This record gives sequence, C-alpha cells and structure tokens, in this order.
Amino acid sequence: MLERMNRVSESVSKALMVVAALWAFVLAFYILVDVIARNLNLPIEGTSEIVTNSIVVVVFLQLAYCVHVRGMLRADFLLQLMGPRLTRGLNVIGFLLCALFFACIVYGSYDGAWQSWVTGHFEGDGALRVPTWPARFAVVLGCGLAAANYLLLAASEIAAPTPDAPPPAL
Amino acid sequence: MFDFDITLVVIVLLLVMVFAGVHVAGALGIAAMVGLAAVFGDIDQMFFFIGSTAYEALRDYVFAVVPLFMLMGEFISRSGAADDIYNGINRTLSRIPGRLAHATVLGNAVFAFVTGTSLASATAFTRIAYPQMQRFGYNRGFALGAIAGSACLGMLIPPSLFMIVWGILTEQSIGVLFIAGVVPGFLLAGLMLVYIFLAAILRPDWVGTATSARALSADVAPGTTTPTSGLDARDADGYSGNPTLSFIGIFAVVFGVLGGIWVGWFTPTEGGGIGAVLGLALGLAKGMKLRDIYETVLSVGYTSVPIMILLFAAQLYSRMLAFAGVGVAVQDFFIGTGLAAGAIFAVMVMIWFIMGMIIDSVSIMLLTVPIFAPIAITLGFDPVAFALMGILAIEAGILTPPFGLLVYAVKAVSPDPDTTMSEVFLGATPFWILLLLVMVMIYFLPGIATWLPRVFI
Repeated sequence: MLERMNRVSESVSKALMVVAALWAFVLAFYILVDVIARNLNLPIEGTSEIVTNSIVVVVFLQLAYCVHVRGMLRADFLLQLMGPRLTRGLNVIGFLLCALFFACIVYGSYDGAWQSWVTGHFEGDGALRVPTWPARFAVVLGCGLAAANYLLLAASEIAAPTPDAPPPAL
Repeated sequence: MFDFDITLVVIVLLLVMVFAGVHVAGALGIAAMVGLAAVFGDIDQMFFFIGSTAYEALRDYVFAVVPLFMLMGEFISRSGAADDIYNGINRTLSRIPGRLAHATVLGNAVFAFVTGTSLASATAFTRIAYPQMQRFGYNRGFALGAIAGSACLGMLIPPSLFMIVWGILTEQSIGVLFIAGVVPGFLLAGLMLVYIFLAAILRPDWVGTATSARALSADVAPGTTTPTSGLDARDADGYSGNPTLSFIGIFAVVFGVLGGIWVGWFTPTEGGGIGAVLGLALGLAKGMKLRDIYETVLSVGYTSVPIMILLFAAQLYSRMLAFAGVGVAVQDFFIGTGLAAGAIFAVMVMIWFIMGMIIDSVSIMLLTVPIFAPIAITLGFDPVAFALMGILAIEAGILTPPFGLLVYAVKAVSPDPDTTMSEVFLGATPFWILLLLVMVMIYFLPGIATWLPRVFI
C-alpha cells in the first residue's frame, strides 16, 4: 500500500518537476529575446509580470519532487551521533512538522487562489495582462503535494528507515 | 511591540528543530507560524499571512537569478570546459615547483567566473587534477586539500550563489556585490599560490620529486620527453578537448554577462538568462547531446528549488521577527553590551564559524544575516565590505571538520580509496586560514572590497 502510494507520488511529482524545469529553461531564452528586443526598441510587454509569476510556478511545482527525493537542506550532523531509534523518532517528528507547515500554507492560500480564479484577477497594464491564478494555484498544488510527500516520508520512516540522499550541490 | 518571551521561544524553538535535523525550510516555517500566532493573537490571521507570503515572497524578478546562474554554471561544468582550462594553464606553467597545484588554483580562479558554487569546482577538479598529481607523486592530503581549498574561489569570484542570496536577504545590489568579490577573490588566489609555492620549496616531497615524475610520465606515455606533453594523449573526457574554444567561451560569458551587468546594459536576472543560453551554446559547441541538456536542466531544478524554498521560508521568518520586534531587540542587546564594534564582529564570526561546522552555508546565511546585517550597519560597517567578510567567514566553515561540505565532496570523488577524511581536512587547513586572513584584511582595509565597485559604478 505504502509502496504504491510512493510510486504514484513519485510519478506525479516527477512529471510536475520536469514540466517546471523545462519551463525555467525556456525562461532563459525568453529573457534573452526580451533583452535583444529592448535594444532594438521593440520592448516586449509584460515580461516582468511573466517572469515573476513564472518563478513562483517553477519553484512550487518542483517542490514536491525535492521533498520526495529528500533533497531539502537539513543539518543531520547531530543525528549521526544519536542512536538509530532516536534518529528515527526525530526524523518522523521532523517530517510531520514539515507536513504541517506546508498544509498550513495550503489552508492559508486556497481561498485567495479561488478568488483570483473567480474574479479573473489580472496584473500588468497595457497590451499584455497576466492572470494571477496560475501562480496562486501552483502554490496550493505544490505545497499540498509537498505536505502529502512529507506524510509519506514519515510513514516510510516508521515502516523502514532509509538513508538520506547526499547533500545537494552548494 | 517587542515581547521578550516570544523572542526567546521562537529562537530556541528554531535552533532545537534545526539541530534535531528538521529540514531547515520546515523549521523556519514552523518557528515563524508560532511567532506569528503569538504576535497576532489570532490564528486565522496567521494562516492568511503565511498563505499570502508563500505567493508574494518569491514574486520578484530578482529570484530568477538563482536558477538561471545555476543553469549557466551547470552547462559549462558539464561541457568539459574545466578540463580544457586546467590543461591549458598547466601547459603554460613550466618548471614551477608544485606546478599542478598552482594550475589547480588558477584553473579554479578562471572557472569561478562561470560557476556560482564551490561544489561543482571541487568535484570537477578532483576528477581532472587529482589523477595527475597522484601520478607525479604528490602528497595525497596536500593535493586534495589544495583542490578543496581552491574550490572556495568559486563562491568569492562572481557570479556567486552566496552573493546572490546575501543580496536578496539584505536588499543590496547583486551587481555591486559581484564586482566587490573580484579583488578579494584575486587576493585569495594570490595567497593560495604563495602558500603552494612555499610548501613546494619547503616540503618538496609533498609535490613529488622531479626524477620520479619523469619516470612515471615515461611509464604512462612512452616516447615523451617532458611531463606536460603526456597530457595531450590523456583526454579521457568524451568531449572535444579544445582549450581555445573553452577559453573563448568563458571569456564571452565573463565579458558578455558580468560586463553587461556592470556597465548597466541589463539586470543580474537578465544576465543570468543570457548566461544560461551562452552556456548552452558552449555546451553544444563542445558536443553536448540532447540527453545531456535534459539532465542538466533537471539537475538544476533539483539543486535550486530547495534554496528557493529556503529563501521563502526565511522571508516568512524574518517578517515574523520584524513584527515581534526581535531584530531591534537583538540589536539593542548587542549594542547595549557596550562591546566595541570589533568585539561584536568577532562574536558574529565565531557564531558563523561554529554553525559552519554543523550546517550548510546557505542555511547559515538565512538564519543569521537578517539579524547580523542591520547590527553591522548600525556599528558603522560598510554593507559591501561586511557582506564579503561574512561570505568569507561562512565559506571557511565548509572546509572545517566535521561538516566541511567541500572536503566530503572531494573525498567522495577521489579515485584513491585509501583517502581518509582527516588527511583532506588537514591538507585544507591552510586554505581556510587564508580565507580568514583575507577577511581580517578586509576588516582593516575595507577598500579591498569597496574600491572596485566605487570605480565601476
């Protein structure tokens, strides 16, 4: 059961991760085109709004996968000095706290996301107006999945502790 | 509306969670929620506040800079440019004692202009430079220590992830911090070269002896007379070994991206976008396949997103500190102790140094900079010089035991299975002492950091 949920979560999280990573990659080209166009006196309208909203979408859509593969930054030095049972206990508590945090973000932001969709809230002026709902829904979706993945991590830790992934590149 | 109880609870809670191994983003978030609930006295208001911060915190043009510069560095790292730079520099140096170690420092200094993180340099140069040092009979600890130590240049010479994070946290210009890092970076590289030169003179056994080098080199590449020409035959990398292309590519990126930011043609975010495309172009020119590009893009997501989420959680936390008046309280406390500016700075450095032994550098910045930076400005420090000193002090922590991230990275990639952690830590020690030396030099002579930005802008 747990294994199946893990597999489902992996495929959903990974799909979102790939879409968002490619989106960030395309953003680089978009910015390049914008800079060139601006220097040719053909400024592209709404670049700033598109980039700022894209960042929110890109980050939150990738969040669940980073949680799933245990890529989030932590200090595990003191844990290494403790016994395996204490480590497991602290890991479970830590995962549950993180799940709580992201669940609270969902609770605090779904209403705003819904409102932005219903009222069709836009930002930016001129020819290109960027709707705010994609970024708002990305926060709700990303944090919701992150919370779910943290719960799965806690459950997996109770079932069978697995070692941490190596620390990400810094 | 400062409340001493809230301050104490929130800070102790955060530290306990962080040291108990709770993911730093979650620990910051939970501590912020507790603090906000106490300050507002209303739980619904707290939920609304964290919800809107999640949406607002990263909605700024400047945040795109993090993934874009990481994308640029990752493309160039994976293109094999580091191999070319190292081999190119290595060929031009001859008859200098400890040539391979000097080439490692210089190669890192050049490579630092395209990468914003130290870990990429550390792993790349362990793979490239260490086998050669090994072949020439270098002392293992000295060789790996030099690789880990010189990788620190990646964080000091622009573009630097630390400067980006510091700039975001303190609302300073990232472009100015980038320029400010150039002189201290070169100074540090120079000191490292001096150290290696002295070590090679005083301890010739550390850098192998000339006779054994020749014998070994003849053994590997028969028919060659000089050790250097053996390099040409050993381009184990699958990409084309073309130093000219790599140097041109890197200079194009340095002048196109950093130059463009400095003369004001574009913002750091736009520079990051242009750099990512230039990096891709260099990668393609050096034979990257579609599969490599896809993997590069994914790996940047995997490494950049945890940092971005930390930035969001840290903003939540520092907004809570501001509501509770904690920043002011801590400032008053520090300044009220009546200690001299230098003594307070020494306390900060000690906190950074100790934290550096336990936790990663970006997390240290997020936990301390929002509190320390305003204190430093109140004490009369130049914000740019303080940023550079802080980055140097925090960076020293990734070379020191027990959590020295760079040392772990070098050890993990080292092809020599007998390598011990303590060997590498010992070999890297002179390098973090040099980092702290440069920090002290900036303390007494802030111009090292502030002179170039003044000239430029």
